Amino acid sequence: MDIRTQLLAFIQGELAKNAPDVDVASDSLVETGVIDSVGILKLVTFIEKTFSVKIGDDELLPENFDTLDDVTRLVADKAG
Amino acid sequence: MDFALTEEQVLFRKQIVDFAHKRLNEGVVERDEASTFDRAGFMACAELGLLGLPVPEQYGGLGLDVVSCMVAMEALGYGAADQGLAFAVNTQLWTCELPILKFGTEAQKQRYLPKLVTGELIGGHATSEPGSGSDAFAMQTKAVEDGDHWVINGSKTFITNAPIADVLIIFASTATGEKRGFGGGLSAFLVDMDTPGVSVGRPLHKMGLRTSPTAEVTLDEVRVPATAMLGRKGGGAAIFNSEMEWERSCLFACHLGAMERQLERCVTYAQERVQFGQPIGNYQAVSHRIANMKLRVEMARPMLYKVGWLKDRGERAVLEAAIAKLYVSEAYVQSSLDAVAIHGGYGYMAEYEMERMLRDSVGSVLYSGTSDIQRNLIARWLGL
Repeated sequence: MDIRTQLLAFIQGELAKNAPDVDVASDSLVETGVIDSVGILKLVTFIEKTFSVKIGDDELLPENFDTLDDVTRLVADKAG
Repeated sequence: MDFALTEEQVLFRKQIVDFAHKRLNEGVVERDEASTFDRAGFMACAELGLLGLPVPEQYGGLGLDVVSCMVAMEALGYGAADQGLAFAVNTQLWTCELPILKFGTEAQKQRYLPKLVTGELIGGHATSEPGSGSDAFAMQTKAVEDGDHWVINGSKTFITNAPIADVLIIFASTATGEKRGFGGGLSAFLVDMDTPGVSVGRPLHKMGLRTSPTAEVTLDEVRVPATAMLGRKGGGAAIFNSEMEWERSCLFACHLGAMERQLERCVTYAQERVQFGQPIGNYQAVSHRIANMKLRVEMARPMLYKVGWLKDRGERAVLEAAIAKLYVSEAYVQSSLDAVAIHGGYGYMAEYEMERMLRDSVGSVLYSGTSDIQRNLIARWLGL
């Protein structure tokens, strides 16, 4: 599975399961509350373990996690 | 995981315990009654290096790893009867120095860290507000950009070290509109307490940790340069979470030390106190209580040190820190209740210090995120 697909599966299964109206693939994950102050930590922990990359605390900014595309780009840049 | 202490850690631990016994404990009952901060003791902690444990040598600190910091804090908690003073030390370390070290610019590090390490400056952070405690991201304090400055307005409460602080890390919303939570644009600012518009209320009278001064802070049109921002705009949530992870491990190592001391006091008392013709430790009602206290100490230690071990490996320890914090704080309160019960009427008297330990312990289930918040976090991690 590519990065985007793995991230999509994790976010849908773990962070957005109580938000059926949210289209994880295209909606803002921050504005819809799918990624909140706990969700961001779960997501980053998943990313670091799954893709063997390191996300700095100074990178935990809303703009890096606003959409699935943003997160995918962040991970791809690090994994690349 | 290998939690065996190195020779250096064992020696440092002993040095801190001996130091605390000699320099920090005299007069603690009176200071607690008067809610007096022991500034001389604080400066003595700085002289020993305690205020610079994790800070690199280039800024005057000792540059220790996380586990070594925890060993030092456990030693301080064990040796120091003045838990309010230990709390002030922890506040300075984990909510002021560490964020500057991790998120600060080189100029901010040079400006603040050397003086915080020597105790010349006292620091802390300001997050809680009258209307937002556990719901920290609902804070109303706002920072508005004005040219190359920020103007901050708001009120903070329960701010540890505020009456004695020279600098606080102020968390404020820099978002526009009604955004909140992770996406709410929370930012952090280094604010010198002599900045016009900063005022500190009278010290708050607390149930415990009375030797650690706490107060409200009001920010009225406080104007700070853009260079006062710590980290990046919108990065406040990450700074806050980072602080909490450190605090939930190192501060609570201090509480673990206090539990160990409490346990030893109870064992000694149960061996010496005679009722109905024999030491009370011969009665299972007492000995089982003490056995449970020992159990809690032994359970708490690996939970806490696992957090330090993970952090030293560069791994995140969000879940582990929440588990450790939750367990240690609730164990600390329960063991403190047991210690009072074991000491009977004497446990209720100030001079025996058990009642103060109980009062000091209760805050631990509230600060650094309440027990309910830790359970929420753990449940979320489990997918609930």
